[in-house]
Amino acid sequence: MEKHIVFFLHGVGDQKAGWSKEHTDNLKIKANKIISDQNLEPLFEVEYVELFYADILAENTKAMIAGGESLGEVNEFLKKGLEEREDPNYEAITKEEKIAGVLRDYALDVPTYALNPDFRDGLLVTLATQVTATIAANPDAWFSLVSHSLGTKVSFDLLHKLYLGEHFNVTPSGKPTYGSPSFYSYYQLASVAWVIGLFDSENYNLNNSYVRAARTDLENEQSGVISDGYRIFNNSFDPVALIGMANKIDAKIYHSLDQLKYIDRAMMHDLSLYIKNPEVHLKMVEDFYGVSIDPVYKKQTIDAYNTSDENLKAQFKELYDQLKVFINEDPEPTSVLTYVKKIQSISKKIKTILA
Amino acid sequence: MRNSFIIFFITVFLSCSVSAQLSETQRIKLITQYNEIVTKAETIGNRADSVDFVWYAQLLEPYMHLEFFPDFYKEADPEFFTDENMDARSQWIASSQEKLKKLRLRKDITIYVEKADSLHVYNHEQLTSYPKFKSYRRKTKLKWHLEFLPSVELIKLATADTIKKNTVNYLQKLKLVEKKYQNKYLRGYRDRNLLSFFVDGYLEHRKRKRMKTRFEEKGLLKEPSRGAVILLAPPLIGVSSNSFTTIENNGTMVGLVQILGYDRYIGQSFKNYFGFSIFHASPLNSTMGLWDSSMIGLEVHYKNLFNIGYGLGYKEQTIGTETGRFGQIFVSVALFNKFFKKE
Repeated sequence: MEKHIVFFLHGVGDQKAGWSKEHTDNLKIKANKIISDQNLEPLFEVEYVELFYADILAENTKAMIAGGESLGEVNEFLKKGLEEREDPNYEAITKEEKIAGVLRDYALDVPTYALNPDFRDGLLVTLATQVTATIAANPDAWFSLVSHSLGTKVSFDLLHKLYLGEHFNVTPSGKPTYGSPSFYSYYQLASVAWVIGLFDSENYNLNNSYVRAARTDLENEQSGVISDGYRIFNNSFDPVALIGMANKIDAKIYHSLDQLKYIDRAMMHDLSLYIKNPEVHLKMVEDFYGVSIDPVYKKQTIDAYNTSDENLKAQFKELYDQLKVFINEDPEPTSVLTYVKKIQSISKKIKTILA
Repeated sequence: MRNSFIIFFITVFLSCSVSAQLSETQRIKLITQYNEIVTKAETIGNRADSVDFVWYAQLLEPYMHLEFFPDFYKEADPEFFTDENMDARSQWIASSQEKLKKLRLRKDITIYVEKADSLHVYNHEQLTSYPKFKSYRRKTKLKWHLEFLPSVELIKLATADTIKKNTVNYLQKLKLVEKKYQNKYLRGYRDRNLLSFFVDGYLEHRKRKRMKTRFEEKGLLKEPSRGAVILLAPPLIGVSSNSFTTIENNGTMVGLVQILGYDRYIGQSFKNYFGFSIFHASPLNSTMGLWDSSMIGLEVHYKNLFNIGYGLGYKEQTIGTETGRFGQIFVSVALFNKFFKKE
């Protein structure tokens, strides 16, 4: 059986080493059940590899806030957010607190990553070293990459760093060549790449990059370093994806852009919720284990999941509508200052609603 | 049609030269497997299956002869498919690599063939992606056959070798550069810049901080800078000569501090450096005030091992009829590293 190594890359927030275990364990349980239920024969022996960069990010977030007095009110907001994040006694319990927490994490981490190219290079090289070392030890394996939230942008940059750096033997024209390891599947969950792209100083973008799916099923065949790319987000209510207006992306790197319509809770940004959703994990099991799941079984599983939860509560519905209107007031954020202010205002709005 | 195409194949094969990508043993094996595929295409009775073998053989071709493209490629785009276009050749292989991987796993793949002669496979992005060639091609499916397995395995092995070589090469390069930072910041540097030491807290942090900001355009880690500022180095112990000026002063043991200076790292390892600095020195056995017998001067050094400098007393003195400053040479052999090894 061939080895399939699946890298997991985290998103914003106070992540710790070992963060992926919860998710990969869940995925293993689901895969075992599906494979057993369907009597499938996997083509791959799957190994999950965790990638971690939160410590580097946190160090630089602190440095940025310490030196960001000129941002005034915005910096105060970030400072308070950092204090809240670092407070071991603080725990977001209500839906609204969770939403505010995600917005806070996003506001803290995204500018740190997006506005500091030198620091970003260091972070990406650290990750590239981890990925390259794994590939060097398993050159005949298959590789996949799962990324979440800010990690969707980090993973995109990471792939560019690997190939642009010529580590993976890419020709000057930017096309993969002999000996370029490809990624069998590339998942961007809760992707906010478009909005992060606004702050990107690099000269590549999602539409002209060769970090894209190699597809023969298109009208024109497309070369790339990814066999299957997916961008999945819950446009119904993932606050980050909503703010990022991420549904506007139409990139060549993907085979599919999947909007999950499912809403069963106010908070749909956590990686665990994405993986829990069968529209996501069924696809992952097929890709990672090299199995083909019966379409009827898939439909039944998805239908059962969609009908198993409660409807939205009135309170959440009201909050959601208000946020949606508010967010849509300025659909084209053009600077990080505007963007952070927007998050700041959204947090205030949530507090007003709660009061 | 099929037989004439197979003749075309064999002609191509006889004129091909050594592939730059496979080892000699691998190439010989691939040629044998290629011939078996072509023979199989001829012996299979039904066209539906034999055509898979004809198409599949063409996916192996980039691994067998990089020196030229098939004639129908050149006819389609003579400007692009030239012997000089190395990128085009590399992409040709990459195109096969992806298709072969998918074919084995998924049991069929979409390919493009030339409309006029459906046996000709367009296996290059130049022919399959550009609208100007759209009217010349048609989409079809290539199905997997067990006979393809040996050649797919062989190419997989050869590709893995190249991937390993590339990745190990990258890691070695990175390790080499990291070692240079290690040498620069954990050997001499710790004794050269007290301010950095206190500001950054510790030198590992200093090293990481510097590494974060030194990347090439393509993201590769650059070597550390050759230069380093000396700012308030820890004291050294030296021996001064008698005064060389008319103002007398006896030689003695001095403690000296390099106040401001510059080091230049030499060699590939970043273990060695030389430099200069403005220094302050005071006699160790002085019973006088700090400035009375102290001096300021310029010194040159090699690493932290050897320093030689010339200093003048801070104060003008009048001895008899002579007014001026004493001037002394000092030599120092730094013992700090000898006694306080930190590695």
